[in-house]
Amino acid sequence: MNFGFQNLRNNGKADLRVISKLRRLKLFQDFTPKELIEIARIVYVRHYRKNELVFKENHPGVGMYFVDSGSVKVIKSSHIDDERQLSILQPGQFIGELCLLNGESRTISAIALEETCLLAVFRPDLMGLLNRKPRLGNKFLMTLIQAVTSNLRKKDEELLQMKETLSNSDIIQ
Amino acid sequence: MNAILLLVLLLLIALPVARFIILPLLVSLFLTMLSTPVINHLESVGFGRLTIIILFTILVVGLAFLTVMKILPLLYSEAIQISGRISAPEIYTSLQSALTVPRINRVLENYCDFVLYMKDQSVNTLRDNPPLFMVILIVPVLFFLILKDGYYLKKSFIQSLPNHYIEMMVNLLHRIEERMNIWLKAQLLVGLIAGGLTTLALISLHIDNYLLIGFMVGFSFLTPYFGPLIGTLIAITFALLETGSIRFAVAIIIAFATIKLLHNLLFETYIGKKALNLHPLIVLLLLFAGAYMGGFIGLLTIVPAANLFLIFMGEIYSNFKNYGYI
Repeated sequence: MNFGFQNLRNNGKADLRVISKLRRLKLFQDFTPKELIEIARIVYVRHYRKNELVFKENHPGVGMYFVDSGSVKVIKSSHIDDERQLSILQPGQFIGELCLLNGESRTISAIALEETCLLAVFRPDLMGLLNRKPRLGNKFLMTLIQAVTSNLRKKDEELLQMKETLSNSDIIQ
Repeated sequence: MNAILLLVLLLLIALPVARFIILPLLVSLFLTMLSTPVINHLESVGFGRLTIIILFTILVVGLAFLTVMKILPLLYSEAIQISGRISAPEIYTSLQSALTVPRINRVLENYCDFVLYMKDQSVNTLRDNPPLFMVILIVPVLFFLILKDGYYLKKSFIQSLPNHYIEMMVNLLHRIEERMNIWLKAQLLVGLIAGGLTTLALISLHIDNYLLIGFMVGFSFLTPYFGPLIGTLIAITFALLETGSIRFAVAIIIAFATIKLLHNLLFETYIGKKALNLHPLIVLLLLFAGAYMGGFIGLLTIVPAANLFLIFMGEIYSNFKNYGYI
């Protein structure tokens, strides 16, 4: 167990390493250095071993994770087989954003595929940021919503393509 | 491993002094919970967080100074005055002259013994606990440190946990904080209204020890079912001790019926949603235990303390269940 009270020792000063990790993420490209310092204060850097569970389906969801290094497998339990792999997340991508926004239970599970570093943002901390710095909190939320809608649009296109492929294939006929 | 050993060692050293720390810590946490929304709001409109925290600490230092210099001596002198009157023959005579019913004498004697026992136990409880002035001196320091570093202390604690438990702990701490915040604010509101109205009623009845009685009655309203009854009994007993006149008892009953009615009308619906449903029997048993162990102080504080503990344990249980650990 590591009782590294770095945050307390630094007297709340954001860790420069966290800021540099945030800078690499596409989501935070439009954030000023001052804003990144504030965001870094609510970010937890977590290291996962290979095959370690990040979060489990049906558990209460409290936050989202950005992949800093390594990769994460996203799975969902299914009636047909035990579990179905939905996607593999690479550095720069994120997961669990819906739980951050609505605070509901997880609908998927996430497992680290290799030695992985994730940046976690939890809902209570985001709520605190929204209370203390509403402009920054709202900017973070708007940026996140833009990224989520962009992902959703891509998924829609993929779904449409799949439907077209299926309708042209022999399986439906 | 070293960290665990260090923690065990610290706990062993801290145990004898823990009771000196717990009360100031609880008071500081309560003040922090009350002031955090205001501090957050001021920060959101552009004030520096550290500046606001310093200003609030100065305010708490001022409150502590006021409590030490004015409120405590007043409460102390009222307690001494009432305590001096609670000696069996005097209280008995006082009550006997108030209620001139011969058959009630035996009941009165028992009641006098009970009041005397409660007084002794209250004195013992106060003697066993850290001096109040010490608590009041530590509170501003703890208040400042919790406001300034509390979040980072919590973050460091969460950061030190294994990955498997991190989400559960974030959720648990948030839920406990949220529930306690709502509960404490609701209790404070009820206590202040009941205590304030009682103090006003006693002032208008020209009863001297209005502050101490008002304080006790405010606390008594935090106990469900029996609280208002206990408060009324305390007020009547102390008023009879002071005045020896039944007229005041009747006036107090009327005043308390009005306070209880107002309490029901204004707050029961609001508090009812947030209060825990303790069974009346459990409340009664807790009251007996509290009175036996701590006299008036135990009687007035045991049910709110049990409520707080149950909220804490309930959240731990439901959280562990939601995450499939039990």
